[in-house]
Amino acid sequence: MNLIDRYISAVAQQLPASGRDDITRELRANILDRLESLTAEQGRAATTADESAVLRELGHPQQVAASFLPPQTLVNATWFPVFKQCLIYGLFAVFVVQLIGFGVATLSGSDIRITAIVSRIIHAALLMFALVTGVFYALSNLPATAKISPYGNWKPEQLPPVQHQWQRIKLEDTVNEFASNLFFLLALQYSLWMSADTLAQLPVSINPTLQPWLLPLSVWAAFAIVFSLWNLRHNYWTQPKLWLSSAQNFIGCLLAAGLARAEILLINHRLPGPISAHINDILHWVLIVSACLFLYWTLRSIYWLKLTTKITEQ
Amino acid sequence: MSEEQLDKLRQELRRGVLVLAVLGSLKQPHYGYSLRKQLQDAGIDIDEGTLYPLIRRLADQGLLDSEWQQGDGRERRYYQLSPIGNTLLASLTGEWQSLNSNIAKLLEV
Repeated sequence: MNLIDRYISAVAQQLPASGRDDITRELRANILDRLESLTAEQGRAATTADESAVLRELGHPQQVAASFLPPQTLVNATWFPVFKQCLIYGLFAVFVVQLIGFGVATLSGSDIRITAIVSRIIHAALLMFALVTGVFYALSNLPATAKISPYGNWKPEQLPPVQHQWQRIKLEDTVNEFASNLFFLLALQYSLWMSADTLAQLPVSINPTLQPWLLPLSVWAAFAIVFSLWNLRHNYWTQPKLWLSSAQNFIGCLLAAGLARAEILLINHRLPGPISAHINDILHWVLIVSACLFLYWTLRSIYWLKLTTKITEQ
Repeated sequence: MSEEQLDKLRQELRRGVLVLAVLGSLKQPHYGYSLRKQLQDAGIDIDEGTLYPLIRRLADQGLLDSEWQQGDGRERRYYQLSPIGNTLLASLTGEWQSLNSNIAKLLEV
């Protein structure tokens, strides 16, 4: 088997059966023409080294075979921006779901290993990547007659009225708010979703004197979750949203400050008294810091509200 | 501008007119290698890895007719403009001349 036969065979291996014989037949004719021309130029018969040089010039068999086939991409340029956006959203979704799973397991007092959590996050992220890529591969390789485009129905009127960077709500902020409030709501209402056995084995419980706080706190957390979902859909600040945000943060500040005044927040059933008191001290400081943060976010929303009003008046 | 940038832009510029050059050359029948030689002689250097798939694509689109012929003891596939290819070449030639004249005016400024 000479070099040309080996080359043609390697090219043929990469081609679909339908056009294989025709393409390789023509390729062989072209190579022989090239060698014939070389023979005429040099005045001697082409050697194996000449054949090798001609084949190298022609290109790697895989490269040559690919040039005869229609170009194929996993995700084409039209769909790529949407694909990238879906991957980012997907990654955040995976992270939130796993984080909540971890939170629920922690609250239930399950045995948790960091390596298992990291492994679950990596597996879920890879699965999400494969699924999203598969969907976009299918969309990118639809027949031209399908005429599906991600930008088919857009209108300039639908673009967000955003002039300044601060008017955009960052995805990570929204996701962070969504995940933390969902976890907070689950922690507040743990008696609703935990089994009686798990409840009986819990090492800590909320101080019964704080029961009247649970409903307003849960309503506040549920509102914050809905609000973050709204921000996910419309990721820019408007006057009504800033009003709502300032009210939500101010109420959050009042609730955190009010709770911080309670002497005992959690009752520890297993640990010794001094350690339990220490945990409560830490929680008090967490609540005080949270109240300060909510106050800062309230003031920031009011400041942005003023700026938005100025922009609207211009 | 670096040599690399110039080379990239030059390739982009040439890529668009290669189809026109190939169609224009195939008013007469040619096999792959003879077409490449004809283009080279006309000052259009195109590598085989680009030319041969391009001819096949044009043939698949019905712009070229092809036929296997025996010559010099070997078989070769000859290509020539099809009637559709002829019509398209006339339109493309008009387009090219108009574009060329318009760009020439811009470059004179």
